[in-house]
Amino acid sequence: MFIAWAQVFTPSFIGSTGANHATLMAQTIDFESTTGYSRLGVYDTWEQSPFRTGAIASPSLYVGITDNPDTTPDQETAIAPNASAKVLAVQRSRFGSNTFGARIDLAEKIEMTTATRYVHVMVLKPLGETSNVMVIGLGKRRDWDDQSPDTEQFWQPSSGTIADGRWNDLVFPIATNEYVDIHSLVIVPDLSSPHLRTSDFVAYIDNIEVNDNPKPRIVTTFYPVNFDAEQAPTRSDRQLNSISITVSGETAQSITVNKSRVYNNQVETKFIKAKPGSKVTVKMSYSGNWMSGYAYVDWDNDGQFKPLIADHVPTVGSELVSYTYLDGYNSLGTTQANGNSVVSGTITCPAFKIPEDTPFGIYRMRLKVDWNDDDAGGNINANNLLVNNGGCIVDVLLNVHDDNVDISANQLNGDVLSAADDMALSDKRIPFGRSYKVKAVPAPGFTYTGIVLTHGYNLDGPQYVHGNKQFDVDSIPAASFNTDDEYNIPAAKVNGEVRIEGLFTPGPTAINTIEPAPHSPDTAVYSIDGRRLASEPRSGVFISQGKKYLR
Amino acid sequence: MKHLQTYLLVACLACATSLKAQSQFEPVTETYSYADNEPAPVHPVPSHRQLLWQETEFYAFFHFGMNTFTNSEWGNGGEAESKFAPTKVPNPRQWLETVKAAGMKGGIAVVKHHDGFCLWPTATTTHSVVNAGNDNGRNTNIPEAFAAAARELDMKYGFYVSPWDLNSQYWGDGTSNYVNKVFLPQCIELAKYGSDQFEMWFDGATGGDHAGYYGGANTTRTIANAATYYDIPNLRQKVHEIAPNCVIWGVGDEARWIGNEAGWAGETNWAMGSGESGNINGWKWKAGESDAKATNMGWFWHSGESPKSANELFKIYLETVGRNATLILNFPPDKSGELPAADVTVLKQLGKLINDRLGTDKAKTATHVEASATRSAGSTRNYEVANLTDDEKDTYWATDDNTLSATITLEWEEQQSLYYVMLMEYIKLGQRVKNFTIETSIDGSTWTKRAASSTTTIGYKRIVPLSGSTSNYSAVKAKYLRITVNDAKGCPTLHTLSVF
Repeated sequence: MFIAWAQVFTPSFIGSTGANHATLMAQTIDFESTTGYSRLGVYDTWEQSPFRTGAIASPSLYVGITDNPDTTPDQETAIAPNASAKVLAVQRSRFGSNTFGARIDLAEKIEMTTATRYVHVMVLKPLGETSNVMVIGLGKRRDWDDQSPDTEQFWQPSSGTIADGRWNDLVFPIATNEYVDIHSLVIVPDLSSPHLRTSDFVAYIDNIEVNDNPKPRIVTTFYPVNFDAEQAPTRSDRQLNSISITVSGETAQSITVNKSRVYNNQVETKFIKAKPGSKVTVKMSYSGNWMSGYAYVDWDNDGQFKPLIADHVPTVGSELVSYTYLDGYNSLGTTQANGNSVVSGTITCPAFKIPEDTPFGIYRMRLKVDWNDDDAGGNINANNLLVNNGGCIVDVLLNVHDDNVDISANQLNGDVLSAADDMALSDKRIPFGRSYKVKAVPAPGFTYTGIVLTHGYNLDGPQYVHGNKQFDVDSIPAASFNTDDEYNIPAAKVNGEVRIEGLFTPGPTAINTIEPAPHSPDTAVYSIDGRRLASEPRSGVFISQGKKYLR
Repeated sequence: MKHLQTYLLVACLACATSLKAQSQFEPVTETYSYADNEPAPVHPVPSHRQLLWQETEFYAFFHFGMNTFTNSEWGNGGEAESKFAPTKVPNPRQWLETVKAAGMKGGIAVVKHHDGFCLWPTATTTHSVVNAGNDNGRNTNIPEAFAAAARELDMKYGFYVSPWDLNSQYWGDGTSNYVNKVFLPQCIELAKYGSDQFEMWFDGATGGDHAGYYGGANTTRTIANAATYYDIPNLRQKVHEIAPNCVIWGVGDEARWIGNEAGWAGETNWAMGSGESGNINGWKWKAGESDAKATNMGWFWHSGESPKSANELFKIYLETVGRNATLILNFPPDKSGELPAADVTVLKQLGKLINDRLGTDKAKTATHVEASATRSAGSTRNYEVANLTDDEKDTYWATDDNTLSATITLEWEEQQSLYYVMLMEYIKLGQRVKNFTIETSIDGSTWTKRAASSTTTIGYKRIVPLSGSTSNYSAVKAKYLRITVNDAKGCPTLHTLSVF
């Protein structure tokens, strides 16, 4: 689903995670000029590929620099995702394997270190072509003089589905031994078997950049997961069963997990409540071993979870707030022997603190079972894919609240008062998370049909921010009021600011005595305005023996 | 507009106007036809070495080393070399002869376990047989003797060399010294013991809380990423340079661990992905290997151990080899450097059991074999159903491209007692079948489904017990047998159908 685009090639990345991901020695190929590459061609890992055996006469014709076929601005943002004039075209031959792709020999080799680097690539595929993309690295050890620079050093598939018919900005983490130089990149446009194809298609590649930033240059979705959101678990030996969250020693708040999906988006139904300064402990009931727990909170509500780790602990503002294992340490900075964090069927994440200065409001919270990876979307290392490892991601909302919340009522032709003291609500603050009784008081000549209850945060803003519901709007009918015209707002609805609109309409005082009418044909019956009726009406309000009835 | 010529040379682009960039890319209309009307491959497909490896099917694991003499499974690397003191010069020929009797086609010998003690005279460390505790130990060179014996017995061979090395001062020290000075040279040394090796086995253990000697540091160490730390891509390339058909197992990414050490694979088992069942959508060929212990104690020999029964091992065979996995079955040599007598006995029994139950192919005696669909022949090869029973691994039955389901029916002159159906896909063109059905009939009109819940994938080899159980050896009476491929990723390509 499209959410938002940002300008390509902005000096700073959308969602940049700061100093620990500072861009160093970036290499860029934009195909506007010949800068960055020495030659272009095609490559196929399949040893019997006709592109390797010579059966295809002119492999070089399958790539070429061409005009950018899609520079149209996005309808919502009026920004073109890729406004480049020239791009690289590659013809996806149905006679190549699933790893057939465009080969780009680099003008400057990528000198790898022990750190993971990131290949950013923009890819455009025709409508209907949604298969994964892959980046293959060809290179050699710099200390082995006689080794071929065409040795395959990594294969990195894209994570998740590729949007067809528009430019995608993809990021591929790459890691090798520190002695390796990458001499060529192969962009595989269609990581699927072509055996059922009857024709080829052309894919487009542009703006290749190699740097140290793991985030895409364009934000196309908020809170992404690095696999199909409908992905079913592939392992039966590892499974997240449930999660419990304890806030400052209070009764644990539990989260039930849908075990038929790797990704559980429960933001519509599950809310974790905590106050600034409170300590939060996440425990995950997990069947299996060798997995670790990770907790994230999107403190700045920008739709991303940005880890900021220094000296093996989350720094101020880090949205990875707790983990049991990351590069040999947990989030307390304590050395961990390995990522096997399951103890007696439970992964216990180190407690983290809700910062004291956290504004009251709604925050996306993500709980993840994964192995040694700070990417909130899940490990995309081909050898440790979250899905393959039996991981799981659960999203809920975190309600950071005060002890008391504002309550107010605004309406014409009546008032909604505190039932306890008949006082106006406007200046009141009431306890968070506790039921509260209000009373409808119509003006003379008016009656009430109910109230509209708006409760949550940012009540004057959009109801959803990046998919996170900020508030609810509930219509409470008059029938929900008691005989004293009172309504008890349930505790669950006192979950932030409470704003009431009384619904008053002209008419007699509302009927609030509703009793089943006995069958009394011999008793005089009157209408509500005093007219004698021949008999009880089949429906409506009537008075009999001094009592009001509704049938 | 002109197409760019053989690799778009930047230098030419800069100076030659005829090679300027195209305004619009013009797709090539060149066509390519597969010879002899062969079906297009369903990718991924195995490499040549992966095909050869898969054909090994059933082979032995021999855990022998320092642990044999210290009664442990994992040492700590600080064991004195003198503790390695076999009572006889180890005899790999006896190991291989014995497992060959069970029908195994090869073996993998452990030549260095996590304790780092090398069973060959390596230039990389003194922690080896060179400093063993007696002459038998000092005269030990397992890679050399094992390779020689395998060649004499026409068997395949390979070596287990533990990447994790609790003895080395360099392992996990934050530098590349271990890989550059110890591990890569060791693997190259081992590769040079035979260019005809079929598999090099890399255990996935990576330190953790198991304390090690580490050159006297006596600490715990770990590494974050085995593939990059051990520089697997370049290790793989270097080993292939010396031993082109040597599959690098595990972290080497050419064959996968099946996901358990209990000796079973999933009934649904794709040669892509991970774990017991693989992944139909996996992009890379990485067939499963099941490692299992044939004895009741550890991977290494321990006093008092005994082998599992032949029936138990046959069940493991059916649930691994018979489910599109290879089986590497562990028989640990004892302190004499030979397999114990009890192991020898049970291996002979297992060989007899396999031969008795899977040795006589009744498909070859069927009076009539018919397929509902057959692919059009090419100029030099056909895809007839007879290819299923001709014992030729390079012939196969196939349907036309758009025919994804078909039936094959066998008829015998007399009613038969049938136990197993064995199917093999022509995996050179990829693993295809997603679902199939086996039915039997007495009269040719009333059919009964057999093992209905388990007939999903086939792969390299699938053995289906018609009783539905790998534990029970019970027959189904039938005069007719019908196999229906219900669904496949591409037209089905089967090269063998056997009935036992």
